[in-house]
Amino acid sequence: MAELVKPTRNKPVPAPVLRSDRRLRVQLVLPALIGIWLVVGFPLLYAFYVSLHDYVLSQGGIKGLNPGNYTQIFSDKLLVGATRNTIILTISVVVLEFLIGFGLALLLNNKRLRGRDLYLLILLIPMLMPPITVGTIWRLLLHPELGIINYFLGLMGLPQPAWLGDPRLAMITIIIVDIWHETSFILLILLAGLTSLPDELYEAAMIDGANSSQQFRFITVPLMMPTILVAVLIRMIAALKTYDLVYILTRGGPGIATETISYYIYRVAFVFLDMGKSSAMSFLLLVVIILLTLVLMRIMRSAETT
Amino acid sequence: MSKKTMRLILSIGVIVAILLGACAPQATEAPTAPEVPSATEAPATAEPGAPAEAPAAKPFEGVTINIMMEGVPDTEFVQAVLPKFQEATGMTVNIEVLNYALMHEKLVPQLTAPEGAGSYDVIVVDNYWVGEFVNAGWLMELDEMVSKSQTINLDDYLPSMVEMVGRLHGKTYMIPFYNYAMALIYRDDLLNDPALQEEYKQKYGKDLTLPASPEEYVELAKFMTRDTNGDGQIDLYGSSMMGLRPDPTTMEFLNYLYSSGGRIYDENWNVTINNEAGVKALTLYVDAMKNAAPPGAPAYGFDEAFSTMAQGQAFSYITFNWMLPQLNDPEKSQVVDKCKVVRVPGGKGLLGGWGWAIPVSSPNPEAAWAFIEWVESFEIAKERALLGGAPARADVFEDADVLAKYPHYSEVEQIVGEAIPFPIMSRSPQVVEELGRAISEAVAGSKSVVDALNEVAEVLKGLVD
Repeated sequence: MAELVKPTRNKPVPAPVLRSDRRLRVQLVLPALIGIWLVVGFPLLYAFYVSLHDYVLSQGGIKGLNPGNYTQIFSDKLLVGATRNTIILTISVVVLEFLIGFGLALLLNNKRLRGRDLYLLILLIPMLMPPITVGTIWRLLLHPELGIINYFLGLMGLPQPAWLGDPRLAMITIIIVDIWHETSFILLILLAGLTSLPDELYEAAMIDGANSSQQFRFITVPLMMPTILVAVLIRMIAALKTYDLVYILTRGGPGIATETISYYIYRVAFVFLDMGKSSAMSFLLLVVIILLTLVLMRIMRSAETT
Repeated sequence: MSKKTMRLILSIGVIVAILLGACAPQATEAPTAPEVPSATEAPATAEPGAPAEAPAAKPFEGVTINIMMEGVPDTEFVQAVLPKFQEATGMTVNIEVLNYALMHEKLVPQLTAPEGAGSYDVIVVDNYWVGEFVNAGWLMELDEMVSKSQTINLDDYLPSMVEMVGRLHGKTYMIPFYNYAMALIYRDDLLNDPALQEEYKQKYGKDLTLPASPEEYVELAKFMTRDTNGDGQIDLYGSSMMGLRPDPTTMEFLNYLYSSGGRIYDENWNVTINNEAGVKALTLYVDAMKNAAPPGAPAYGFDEAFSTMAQGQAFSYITFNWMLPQLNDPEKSQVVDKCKVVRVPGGKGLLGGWGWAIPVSSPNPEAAWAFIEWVESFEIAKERALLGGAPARADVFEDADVLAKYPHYSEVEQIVGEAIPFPIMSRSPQVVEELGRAISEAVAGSKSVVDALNEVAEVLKGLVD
């Protein structure tokens, strides 16, 4: 292959074609690049600039240079709690949503299953709802005295916990609501991956006498690895940024039991109006997410090749 | 594949171009548009507040102003009387109604806009924001307009309201709009229940009466917490509390603090929240939350606390004095005519209130002032009060028609007069935020009362102007 490619590159004739082709590509992409630069690149660089300065909205414009915004982060006790909460939340929801989502996807992938589309439609409804709606609905459902969940628990003679008011339960409740809301996203991606797997492999495996668990282990899992990687990555990044459910369900409380990094950044930015410090924290979060993504991709890739 | 990507990128580029194109004219239009009417209409503002009998002279025909307000009963009453103003002046008044939690963060970017370039002509300012907004230079001074006004004289208002949402540093920045002084609303039928009275007397050796201090209140609330139908489950709670961070729990707690003799800061801005009175107040608060409040109360906001009370599942709750008419509304409540409002146990409640203000970024200050003059005129303020609004004007509180409809307003006037506002400072919202977190941590048990107060005291020290 390599030998074949090299000589064609050295050939003089196709070179101008390639060059003009490249120019056309650049011309076509340029408007989009300018647009992206304007709406993503510029604000990002500006936020970085802000993160290095003293900038509190209620105290006028940007003041002096202050890289202390970054060093301050590491001595922030509240952020430690928020980080711990975020890690617990992220690991719990990604693992549980993946297991449930993958299980449901395998069930739905059965072509002889009747009413498959109907099940899928029902399972996708949570994903179509905005988080603010989900949060508000669950806040009503979970109301300890007036909510329907505790009403039914009471009818069955079960204990009726204070879902959001109990500091030991509040995070678990947020995890449950997040699972209800986001599992369908993982289900959708994994189901799309499963339906695109070639039937021939399974037929060949059946002829070779492989049972269904062997088929799952040696065909489904390896072939699904890239899809799983994408689904888990997207969910992980979103879970690390969890803000909306916390805002609606608990406001970080009781105490600081459910305060996540993003909710803490929101408080610093929009309650304390400290744009410098909040930008610094946001950048650090960005770097951490990028690093985690790279590590996870490497792990998944090596799992895929072995 | 590459063709598809290319197409995608191209279409994004087109969308961006359209968006940018759409934004450009708006941005250039914004500053010029409001100037045209305000410049020509300015001379006519001399007598706009008066109920303009002459139908021909509509001084603000074609003018539109925007106001951001909170979704509360008093906003509904303004909306209810608004058509009259629009009829008389020709001005279109858009009221954008928002949830409280969203208001501050939506207001700040508008207020930091250059002079005349914001979106809101009139805003309502919560007393927590007064220090921040005034010290940042975001609000217009109103002294000159007030001195010329025929409808507004700050002497007509309760002094406590003017002090809180009127003047600051000797200048007028706001016209008081309505009060939300906190009070105790309790079930009078339960207090007068002979069986409960008998049981209380046997248990405590004294008559069942309204509590005179926070300690007595917590004791009474614990006494009232019980299983009324004998199914083994508690179904009546002594106090429908609200422990949600940051403002519900902070506001509720401050009633305990003030009535215990504590303050967040003393008069020299030294932090006193962690003194003996502070520790006593928070200990009582946590005790009530654990032993006299519904189990979900640490996560309750205003709505949940209200619904527990309205469903008849609580004996009392500390809330805004104007929640009483809501509890007497048969559509919302199962305890109609069973409740009464009195000052909080210990007498020193939290005073809250809103004021009308014109931001410096207001595109049309003349029209904005005309609206404020009208909405705060005695006639309209009285009309709003008759609908159930919470007055800020003393003459409305004392009006015979108003008192005939709401006899408890004489009590409320005293409550408003005696209550203590939140400290007015640039960083009040941050104090609410930090205090709310500390209280919530003590309630959750992740910190002891003393630790929570000592830690927050350190933070509050740094928030003084």
